Amino acid sequence: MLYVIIIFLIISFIDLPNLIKKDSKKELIVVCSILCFGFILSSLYALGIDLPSPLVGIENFLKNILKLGYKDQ
Amino acid sequence: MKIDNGKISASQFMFAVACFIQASTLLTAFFISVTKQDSWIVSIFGFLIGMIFLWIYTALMKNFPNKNLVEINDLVFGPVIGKIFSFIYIYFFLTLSALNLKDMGDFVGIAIMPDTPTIVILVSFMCICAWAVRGGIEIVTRYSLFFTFTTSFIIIVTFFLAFNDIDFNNFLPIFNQPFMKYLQGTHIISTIPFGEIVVFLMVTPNIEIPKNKIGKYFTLGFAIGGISLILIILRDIAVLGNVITLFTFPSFETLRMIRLSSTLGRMEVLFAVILITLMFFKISFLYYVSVLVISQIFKLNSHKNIVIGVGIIIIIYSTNLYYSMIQHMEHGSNITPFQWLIYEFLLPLITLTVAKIRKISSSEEGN
Repeated sequence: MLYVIIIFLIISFIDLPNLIKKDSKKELIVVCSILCFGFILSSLYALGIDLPSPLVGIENFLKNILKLGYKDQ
Repeated sequence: MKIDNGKISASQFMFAVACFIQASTLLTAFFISVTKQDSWIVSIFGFLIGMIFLWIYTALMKNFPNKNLVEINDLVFGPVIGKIFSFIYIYFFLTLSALNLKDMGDFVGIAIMPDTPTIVILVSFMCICAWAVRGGIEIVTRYSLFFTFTTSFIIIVTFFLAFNDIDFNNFLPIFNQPFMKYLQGTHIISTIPFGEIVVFLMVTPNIEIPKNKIGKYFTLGFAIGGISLILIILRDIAVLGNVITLFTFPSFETLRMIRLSSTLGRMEVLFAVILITLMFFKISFLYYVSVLVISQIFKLNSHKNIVIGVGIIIIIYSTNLYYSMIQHMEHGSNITPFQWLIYEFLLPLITLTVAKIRKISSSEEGN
């Protein structure tokens, strides 16, 4: 967990000063939100918490509700 | 508006398409377990159906020259619904990148370095891919020619080296299986290796050729990739026979059996090398396209800033997708073809139909 925080601090120090100097609000918001999303995901991975997978969710939806899928034999 | 101003030539584009399809030769286990020794028939039919997909994509490219997939969606459907379609494509491209990364990590983890934790392999691989993606489209496709020639050379050489082990009785019995299996196999092949060329709709503005000639290069690259795939399947069935359903990586086992002399055995290291290089190309191309879609939707100035963030999301997503390879194989053969059909066939077909109905084309916009 500590390593995750350290690595994200390093990444933000590489990327963010240029953006803050150029003063472009929209880019800063998008980059920060993507980095925050990545930070949340990787800290959950480092703590060992398993999230449900969206791909499996959509495929179960297609298989059970819309009944599209080959039966395995 | 173009975010990445790199230019690639038409032959680079053609070899990029061929390289992309050749990189899917790892995924032959999906349909080989379904149609066991008739997989070559199914792959020929899948190739022909892939031509239908190709026709849709070239029609879209000709109608909207110099426009990205995201820009086409915005033009045809208007700003709000176009953005929704583009968000669906973000999910599709991110999932494709994560799936291919997972395949690569599984292959290296099983065959080459079994004791290394998977995430170490994935992170070190993605570091190099991120470096390539930061450079832009020119760097991502620069080596496509070299990779395609090396792979084709290795395929032809191993085809001749495996001549001693080929037994043409392994192709029998032909046409012995229920019809549903053939349908399922064709469906899998037309969507998983051949349908993923929808990603090339994102790089259309960067190609330096008049857009009515682009269909020729696209088809030629597709044909090179398809013929390589069919050759590999033929070779694997001829050498391995009925045992082929037991293996996760049939080409790997074929190359294990080749012995040129007592010193030149262990050819499977060739397979591992070309596979890692081809997967590097495919993963960095898919990574580049995901970054490009995100930066196009939010209208950023350059794609270089979000590269690292998207890379981290892809790595964690790929560890989260399926909890085992068995679930991956099972879903890949049964349900994933239907889901991919939505993104590769249904959405571009809807876009093309609405564009024809509304009589929109890029030349009328005065652009």
